[in-house]
Amino acid sequence: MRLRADGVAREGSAVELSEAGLDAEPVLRGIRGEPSPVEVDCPDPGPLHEFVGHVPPDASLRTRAALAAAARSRGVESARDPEVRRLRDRLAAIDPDRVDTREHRRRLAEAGETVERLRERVARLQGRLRSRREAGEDTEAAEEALAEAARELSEAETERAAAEQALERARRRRRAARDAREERLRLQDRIDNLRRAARAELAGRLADEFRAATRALPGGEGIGTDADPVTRALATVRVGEPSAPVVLSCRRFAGAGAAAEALSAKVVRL
Amino acid sequence: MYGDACNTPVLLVVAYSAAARNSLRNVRRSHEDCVVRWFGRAALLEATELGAFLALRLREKHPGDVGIERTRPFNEFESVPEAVREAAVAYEQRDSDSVPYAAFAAGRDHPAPEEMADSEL
Repeated sequence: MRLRADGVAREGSAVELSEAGLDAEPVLRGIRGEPSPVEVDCPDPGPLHEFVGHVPPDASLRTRAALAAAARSRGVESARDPEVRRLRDRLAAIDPDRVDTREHRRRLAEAGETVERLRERVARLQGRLRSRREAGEDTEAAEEALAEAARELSEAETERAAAEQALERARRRRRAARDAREERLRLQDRIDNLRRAARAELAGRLADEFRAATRALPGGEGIGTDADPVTRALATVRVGEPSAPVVLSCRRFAGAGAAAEALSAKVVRL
Repeated sequence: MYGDACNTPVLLVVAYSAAARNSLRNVRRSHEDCVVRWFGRAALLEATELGAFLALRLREKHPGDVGIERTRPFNEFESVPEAVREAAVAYEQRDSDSVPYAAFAAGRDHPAPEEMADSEL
């Protein structure tokens, strides 16, 4: 790797920066090729870098997932990978329609309110007509008003029926769209389960090497998955093949060179 | 929690995506009293304004991925014809296990499946 910080260029597989007073973040950004005061010329980091690209003194590690990434960095694949790829292809092909029935519902609710309002109006006008008849008064105007209201009510009832049917049709279309969404959810769940099983499988394949690495590395406590987080992270670097340099802010080694040798990886030590 | 003999209407909320399902689980955690029953991807919420509010929030948050229905308690004596009720009981009490309902019904003057499928409650 080639690294340039504070105007000073360094080169090699082990770069010691402990005197430079740098934070990990600018170095990591440089490694990732992002804008940074620290420029690093190195291969792109792979997925393993997400887990152990930086090992700080307060490291925490999802060991199984990290070990699976380490296995993959070595080109190891899970027997489940082809199935995951197949399911992902099927998942990508699902594009459910969006059927929004909100406007249909609103139209139906409004139509219903109108019908109710007009029914009350018709009832009132019927009452008025009746009392005028009983009183022997002229009813022509009242009859006309009632007939008009009854016509409007009939139209409103037709509109409500139409709104109901439109909502029903939209609901049927939505059912098909929801079938697709359910299929998508089922596929996603199957994929998640398979990936979880694949991680367990891959981590299992490296279990012995990992255990041995936790023993061989200096410092720390415990063995294998019971080791402290920094040891586990370093052991993961060792059993994996990180494509880009790993940044160490922890102090387990005498220097960057010793770290690079112990971890069989390119190292920047802060 | 509520017993199964729930006498009031409830809202049935169904999630159609992983994210919606997640949010539904969070609703259950933060509004335990309003969630009558929880089935993972679906839940029954009280048909109160709070229940409606929670359901509508979910739908706003996950457009297209949340279904909301309103359910009524089911009283078969009010809503289901006697012939259908009797058919259900008679069929479950049959002697020979392997008779499919269609054949059983034909032999005994119970409603046929096709008839029942065409009749709304």
